[in-house]
Amino acid sequence: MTLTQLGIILAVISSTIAAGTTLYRFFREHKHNRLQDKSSATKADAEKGQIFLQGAESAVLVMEKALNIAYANNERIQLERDAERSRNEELRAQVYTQEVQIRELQHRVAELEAGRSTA
Amino acid sequence: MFRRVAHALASSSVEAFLAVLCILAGVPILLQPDSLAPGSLLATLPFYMVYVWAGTLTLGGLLTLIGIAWRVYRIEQAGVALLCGMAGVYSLALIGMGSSGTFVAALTYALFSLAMGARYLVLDKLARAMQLAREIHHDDDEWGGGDST
Repeated sequence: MTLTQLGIILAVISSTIAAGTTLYRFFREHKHNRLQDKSSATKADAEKGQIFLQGAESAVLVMEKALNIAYANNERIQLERDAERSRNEELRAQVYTQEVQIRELQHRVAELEAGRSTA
Repeated sequence: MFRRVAHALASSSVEAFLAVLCILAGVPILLQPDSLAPGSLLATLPFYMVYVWAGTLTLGGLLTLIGIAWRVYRIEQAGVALLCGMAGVYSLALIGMGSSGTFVAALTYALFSLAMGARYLVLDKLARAMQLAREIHHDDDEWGGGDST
């Protein structure tokens, strides 16, 4: 084997190794980048999910507050109705008492008029 | 897509031209090695090695073109490494002939090989820088620096 042939073999081997190593690096970096992109995508999805959950939680809280207000309003209206009803009953009782008193008075007036006419 | 590839090829036009040149040199030798292969190679190398040389030259040219077109430095670098080696082989084969008439051709191919070697190193730096930039960009996203206000 001549020196030239040895040089040629060395050149072929070294360039093939260099190209192979470079392609190996390319595939390694490509895989690494894909994994990173995937983890970024997963992270972004998780963030989106978290934002959605936070939004949903806020919405539930708002709805709960609205329900509480509605319950409170309903209770207040019910209490007002009850108070009105009891006031009505009281007034009705007063009217009835006054009617009884008026009847008693009328009765007494009738008795007095009867006594005067007899006298 | 076509516009992007054309722009990429235009931005590395000399390298793309050399890659095409290597493909144009390699493919005919693969088809008819006994009549189309350079005499210096046939004289220096065993016949099967001429196939290997032409095949590697074609593959190197293709990888370089693909790397340029897709803007993937590592593929381009692999192609350039093969072209560097095969130009070096041809240069050595011409030197091995020992005649004064092949000196200029041997020098030309030696310089071609050196240029490709230098390009290989530059592409390695570019690929590393791109990877580093990517890592920084990813870290930036991870720490919430993506939305710069």
